[in-house]
Amino acid sequence: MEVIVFDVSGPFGLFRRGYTTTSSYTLPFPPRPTVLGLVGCILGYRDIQRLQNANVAVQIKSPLKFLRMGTNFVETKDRGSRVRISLQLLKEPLYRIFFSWEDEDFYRLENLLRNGETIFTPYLGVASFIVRRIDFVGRFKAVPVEPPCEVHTVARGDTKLVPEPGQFLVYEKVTRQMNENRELIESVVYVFKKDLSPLKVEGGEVWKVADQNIVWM
Amino acid sequence: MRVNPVKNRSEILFIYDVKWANPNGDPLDENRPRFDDETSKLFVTDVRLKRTVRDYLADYYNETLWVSGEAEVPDKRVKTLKIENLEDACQKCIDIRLFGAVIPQKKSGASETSIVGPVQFRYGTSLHRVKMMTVQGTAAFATSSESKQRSFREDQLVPYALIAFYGVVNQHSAAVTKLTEEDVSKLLEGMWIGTKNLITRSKMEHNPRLLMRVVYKEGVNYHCGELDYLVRVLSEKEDEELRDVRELKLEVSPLVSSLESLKEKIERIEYAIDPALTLSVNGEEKTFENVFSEFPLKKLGW
Repeated sequence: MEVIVFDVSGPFGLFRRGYTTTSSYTLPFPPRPTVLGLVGCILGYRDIQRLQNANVAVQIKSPLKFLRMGTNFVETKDRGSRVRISLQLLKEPLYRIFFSWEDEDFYRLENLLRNGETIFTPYLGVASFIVRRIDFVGRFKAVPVEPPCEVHTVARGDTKLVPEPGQFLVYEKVTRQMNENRELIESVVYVFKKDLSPLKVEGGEVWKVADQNIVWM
Repeated sequence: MRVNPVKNRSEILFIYDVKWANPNGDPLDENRPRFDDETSKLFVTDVRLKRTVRDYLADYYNETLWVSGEAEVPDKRVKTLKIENLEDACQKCIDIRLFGAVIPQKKSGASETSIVGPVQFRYGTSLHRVKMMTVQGTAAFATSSESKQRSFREDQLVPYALIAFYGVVNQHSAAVTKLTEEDVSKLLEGMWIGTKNLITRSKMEHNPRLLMRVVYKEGVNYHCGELDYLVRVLSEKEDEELRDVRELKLEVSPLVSSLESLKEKIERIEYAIDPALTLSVNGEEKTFENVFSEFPLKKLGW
């Protein structure tokens, strides 16, 4: 399997939770549809339908730092006022994206990334959080790895983990699939270590890409 | 009216400063200026900048706005402006052509109701650490005719901040909203003059210092992405002690080398600069025209 690897960073990020309309806590990493949206934006797609069969893995590469900020939202129901929301933002986020896709545009994507080109303006969750840099890392052949092994990306929450003393695990319920009306179709729980060190796993489908082990979202 | 459609990708760097003002209060933090405790840097939302531009476009060009500034329900706004569909909305409102919009329509999904704006801005950030201040004053009026005592008022402000905004104009999104070069000129004018015109009490002494629009050649799908990261403040004073633009220099050597490496992709640089701002390249003072002499330059004048 061919995998394109690239790094994406920006001064701010905000990835909303799909299971509630009221919480404005950001997710610590972009959900799968957000990554597909980012790739679609680079390719110039106006929606992500064509990308639905792609595989995505995400590695959190920068320490997770947050900032809280009040925002006025427009009230869409007839109450004639603003809604004040306290937003939580990610500061200086940096992610490594692993992307595999059986489509002729896969190689067009590689070309765009190599040349630092994007068709639309890429952003991290919210249009004003324009991406600062997208750095192409390379195209690699992925080979399957037999657990037990280490995993460097966010893994599915049902992955069997090797118990380790003093490890702090973060579980997040995250949107995995949306339909064309951006309605939630499927959520999955993902896990990563709070100190962002690799997870030790005993089972599951793991792929080796260059020197990193990944799990598809 | 739509004679000159936007065909080129461009990037905007806008630097302005404020003195004894609150550039953008946080309503959930007692209206204190938005501030990052970790870096002591101040920031301003894109919404604040867009408001400045919108107000200017409405006041001086009598342009119709989708986001008028009044708390209005979108349904009502659609009726007031007699908007029939998304295309019509783009035609009527300059702020939709520039910044996009979400226009809710009954029984339609998100993809049918949202228009992506060709012009996007990041949050503006101060280019140096900023001191925060609370200044007390006395209210003008008593609460009732019997009472003789007036209450105290607290103002949250910063003595000085030099703030940089970064934005991108995307030619492909521009084709969707039918954005024109004339619209972009008005945007730049609104950023420059609109910022000068912010003269409410909390926004006194806003001054635009540098505005650059790097216009890429037609067909180029590249942009640098971090113009605001490529400039920094040089001063003999500590960051928090800065009180005036004449006490600092803007070091632009990383910006110059980045843009020079992209020279073949760049068609021209449009700019406006305030004479009070000094640019430096590796510490050496230079004029804007000198610094960017390798590029076709177009001075913006209003």
